[in-house]
Amino acid sequence: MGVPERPTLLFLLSLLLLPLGLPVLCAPPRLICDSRVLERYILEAREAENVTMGCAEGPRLSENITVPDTKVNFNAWKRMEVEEQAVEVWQGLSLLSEAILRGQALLANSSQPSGMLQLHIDKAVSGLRSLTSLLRVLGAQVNATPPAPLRTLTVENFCKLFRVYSNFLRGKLKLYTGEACRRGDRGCDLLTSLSSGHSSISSDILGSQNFSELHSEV
Amino acid sequence: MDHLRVPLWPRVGPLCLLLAGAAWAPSPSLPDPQFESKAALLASRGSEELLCFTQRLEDLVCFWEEATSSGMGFNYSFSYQLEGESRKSCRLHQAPTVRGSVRFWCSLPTADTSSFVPLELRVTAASGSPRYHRIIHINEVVLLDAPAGLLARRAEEGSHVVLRWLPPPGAPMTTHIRYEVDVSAGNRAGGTQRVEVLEGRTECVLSNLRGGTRYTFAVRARMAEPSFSGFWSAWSEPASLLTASDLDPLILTLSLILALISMLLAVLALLSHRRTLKQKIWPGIPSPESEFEGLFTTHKGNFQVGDLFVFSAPGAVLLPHAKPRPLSRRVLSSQLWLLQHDGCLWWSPSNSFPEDPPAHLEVLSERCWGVTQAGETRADDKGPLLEPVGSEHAQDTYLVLDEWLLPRSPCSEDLSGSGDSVDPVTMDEGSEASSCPSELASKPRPEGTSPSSFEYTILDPNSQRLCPRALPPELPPTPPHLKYLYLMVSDSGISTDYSSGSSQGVHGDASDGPYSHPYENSLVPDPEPLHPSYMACS
Repeated sequence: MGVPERPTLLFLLSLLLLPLGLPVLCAPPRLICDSRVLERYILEAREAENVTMGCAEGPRLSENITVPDTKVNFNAWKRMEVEEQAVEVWQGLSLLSEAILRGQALLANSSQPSGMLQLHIDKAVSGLRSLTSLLRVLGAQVNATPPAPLRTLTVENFCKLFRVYSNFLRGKLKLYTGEACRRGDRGCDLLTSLSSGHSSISSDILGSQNFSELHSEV
Repeated sequence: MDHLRVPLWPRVGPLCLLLAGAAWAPSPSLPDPQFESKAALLASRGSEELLCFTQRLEDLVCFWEEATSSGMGFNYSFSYQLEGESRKSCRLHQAPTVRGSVRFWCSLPTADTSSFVPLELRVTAASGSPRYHRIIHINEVVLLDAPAGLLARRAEEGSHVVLRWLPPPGAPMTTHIRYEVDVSAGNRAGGTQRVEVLEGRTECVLSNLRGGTRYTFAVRARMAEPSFSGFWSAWSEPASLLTASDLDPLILTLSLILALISMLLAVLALLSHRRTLKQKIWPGIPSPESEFEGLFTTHKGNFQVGDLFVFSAPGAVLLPHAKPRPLSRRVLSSQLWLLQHDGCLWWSPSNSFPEDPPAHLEVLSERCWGVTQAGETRADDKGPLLEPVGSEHAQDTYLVLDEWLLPRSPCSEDLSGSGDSVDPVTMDEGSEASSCPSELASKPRPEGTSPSSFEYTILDPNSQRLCPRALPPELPPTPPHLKYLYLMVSDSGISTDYSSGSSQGVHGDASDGPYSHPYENSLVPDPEPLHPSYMACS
């Protein structure tokens, strides 16, 4: 009589302890899935784009920089698999980060230092770095070979550079994270319903903490 | 079987080809019915500029409207270029509008409808002059369809209304669509409210709505920033709802019961304290009945004792009754009492006695004959009456008046040898009235030369004007009546005033008595009004 009781007892105990261990069992809190997080970076990018609105008279880059293509054809996009989207986004983000860094270097070497431009370039650098780390959580760093080579553009001035930066964040990155987060939530739906309060609260707390952490490490 | 099919082929073949051609041929770009309404929506607010919008982010339509007045042939070319790609041309269509103008529109192919890249549009006339030049982002010109399936229902608690709707059919990125709810109350135009709904939510809970009114709800959609932008869609099909009445029947019933109980308690409290409240609201007039015994019962509310007697004789003093009644007490201090008693009667002795100070009349005894009409029952009263009050009064002259207020000779049989010695006194009308005439024994002071000479007038106390009272009808036609003697009075204001009254002729002017009486008082009521020195207020 004692032996059959133990499995049931263990089972009941595990059920009791399950809500406590939910955040660990399920996916870790994904800050990128909070719309406010990405929106913050997007607004930063738009601000940089608006500042350098006049592309014709803007400062030119001393050399052309390769940037990813931000074009999104919805007809084709919705036919893409999430993994394909992930690869495309990840590659694009990497390329964009390189381009921004290159632009920062070029600006530092330029003879016409512009304080505003410097500020926005620095913000873009730190923002992209944060986004890269946030995106890593979603598992987008799969090093799979892309089915098609990434389309690229070349820009010759900061205006276009910032425009690409802004459009990439608004377009591909936001669409992909929306889809990925929605899919990821489906797996954890049953478990998250048991501890619905914990994850949202913890993500809020972590979100506010990580903002300062990410910026400090830059 | 084959031989049958071969003859059929020449007939069926062209038909099949025709059908295939029709199917595979590019369908004429007929605008869908939505396009017309949307184009009208945009054109109504925009000026003559190149307007572009996308419905599902997979298409783009650009159009502009021109007046048909320009007679030149419409020959424009529309070209576009995506960033990083080559310039392409788009076929223009034209159609008349309901307003009478011409609309030119072009629909981009799906393959080129890419968002998040700048799209350059150019319209040039046939002559080469540029008509329009615009750079847009397709993701920023989204014009969605109206939301569908709007439902309004009452929530379980309170006066909340829950609205639910579906995203626009076929709309992409439903998580990026935000809505606006229009709440209008009844038929009043001013009762419209707009409620913003966050992106991705297709449910809205409205609170603080007025009860018992019919509300109409409508919702429209728009792509949410910062990724997208666009125009507000058309309003969805409205949904109306009648909100629940504010008056909850249970609360109403309980409130009524509570009100009834409160009223009942109030009524009970009022009934139990009826007297106290009545005293507070309508206090009773203080009655002097407690102070004056039998004021209202025996004396009919008259403060005067019996009739008013005005005596004017020197040294006339009224002695109180041995059993002092409150009324007679008043008599003694009549003059003072009257002045203090600021009642209806006002006596101004200064006016009345310009020459002589008032002589005091003292009532030695007072007897109420009442119903018994006999002094036998008041045997006990007689004792004290026999005793004079003071030695000084022993020598005084006095007069006894009987029940008819006629003077009697002292020590008459009626009094049974009472021998009252009463000094007549100027009596003010301070005594209260008594229902029965009281016998007054009065005697004048010995100062007067003629003994027992005084004059008096009977005034009716019940009248307001202190008119002399008529004699009671039961006056016996006895000689005492005729023996009434007019008494000598001194010169005083009172007598002077009263002498103006008519002299009594009926009662005999028997002046052949031992008394000399230059004045005569009449026992008939004085028709003349009272001297102004008296003031009687009603």
